[in-house]
Amino acid sequence: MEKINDYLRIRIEDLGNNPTTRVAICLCLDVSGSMASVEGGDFVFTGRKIVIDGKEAEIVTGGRSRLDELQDGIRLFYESIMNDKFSRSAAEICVVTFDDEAKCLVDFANVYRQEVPVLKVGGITSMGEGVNLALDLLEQRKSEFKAKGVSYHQPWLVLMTDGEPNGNETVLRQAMARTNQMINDKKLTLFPIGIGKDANLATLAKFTPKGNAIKLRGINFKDMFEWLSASVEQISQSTMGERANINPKAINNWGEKYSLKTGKTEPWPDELP
Amino acid sequence: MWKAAQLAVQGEGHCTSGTPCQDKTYVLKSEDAIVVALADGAGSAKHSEIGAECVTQTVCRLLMENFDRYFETEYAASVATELLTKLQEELSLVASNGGYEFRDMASTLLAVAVKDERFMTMHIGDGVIGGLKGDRLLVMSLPDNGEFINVTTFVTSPDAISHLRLDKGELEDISAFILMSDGTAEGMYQRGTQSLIPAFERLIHATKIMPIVEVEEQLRENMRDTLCKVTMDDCSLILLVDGVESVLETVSSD
Repeated sequence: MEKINDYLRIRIEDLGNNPTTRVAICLCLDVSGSMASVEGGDFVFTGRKIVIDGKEAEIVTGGRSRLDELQDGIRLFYESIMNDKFSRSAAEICVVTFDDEAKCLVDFANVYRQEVPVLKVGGITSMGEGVNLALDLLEQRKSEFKAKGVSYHQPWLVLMTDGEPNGNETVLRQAMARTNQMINDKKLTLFPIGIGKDANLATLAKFTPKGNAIKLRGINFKDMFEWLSASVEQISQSTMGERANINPKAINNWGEKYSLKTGKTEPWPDELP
Repeated sequence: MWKAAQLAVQGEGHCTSGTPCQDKTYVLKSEDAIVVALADGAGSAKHSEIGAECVTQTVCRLLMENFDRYFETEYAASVATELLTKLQEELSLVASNGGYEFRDMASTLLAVAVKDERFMTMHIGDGVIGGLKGDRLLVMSLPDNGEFINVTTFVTSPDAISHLRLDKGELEDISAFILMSDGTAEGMYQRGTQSLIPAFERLIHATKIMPIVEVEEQLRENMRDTLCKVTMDDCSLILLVDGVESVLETVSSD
């Protein structure tokens, strides 16, 4: 390389120290009693029954529950983000759970500052409370970003439930109104995902203006979180002024589209929810 | 006399994907005026490098031909409307001739024109226009990103007119202008304090006294090596300075 005149030399230490642009992802997870449902593995019926989350269920020993699979999916998600050089600095994850109440298990931070949260099964399904808490935490984090001059991408909210919301009805409607408004204002991307045959997809679809929800294929959390982490990596790598190269059609690998309009499921199109 | 160093460097992201550099620069000189322009093609637009080339050349021509009239017009809105209309007409023509969609020509646009002791600036989208006033570096036009960093306005955007910023004034003690794309700004503009890196003072000084070709060669090489460590994006830069035509001295590291 030709010798560069010292006056024209730009050294790394000359450059500005702009913080990495952030990608805020909130996982808003149903941990109501029904998430203890065993879906796979080796299990044995005990002959006893129990009422969980308003429904009667048979008690088994052994096997793997929906919550076990979800926990593994989250662990994979964290590992994937940690191992990608762009996402590691850019992605900030928050985990909110809802059962009898809504709780923030981990607040927004880079994954290398967090432990993988451990999910515990609880009682009913306070979905509205969970979504409101998730939105409050997102707004708070954005305010913190603004105050510190940190730039950020449009945040994502991943809402996962296997049942029917049975928390406060008014709070639920308020949460739906908030997400619809934010999506219409292009302030939020929301993935409302239903798990299992008892998930009320129609209710989930009401969280979005398009009236769409995603029905998870089986309990395929692994593929879902793989897609999510790949998408986060794309956003983290995208340069300013450009949209990230995300592949919405790949949602079909782990889910299908539920339409409130038709009441049916169909393949997911080439667009985000 | 005013002169300009211009460069555009392909980012690592586009090197890997085989996408051409989507940043374009242009300089137009006459006896009594100089106009420079820089445009950053939208990554998602298939032919944005063609759009960027079109708008940089068109805006330089328009500002050169109409400087006095634009400067003396009282209402900036009428100048903005005329500029944008003509830019979009030119883009439509190029798109039509090439068989492209208008939206595939999307790019930002930054321009500065200097004539006699007056200047004009124009800005749509992200990137930064700065200057050296006396001995002080200042930002004259901020990036327009809205709330989210990956969203900006382009010349082709339906709402471009409400995001087009124009400025004009007397030069007084302004002796340099700096135009940069958002890729360059990632390393050479401090978002938190909305300020330019101090290194611009010596870059401007060198540009004032050195031959332009040499400045461009050395800056291009250096930016490729240094800026690529902080961004994968294409990087472009124009230094428009009131300097000397020929080299009086060479500053070396010996």
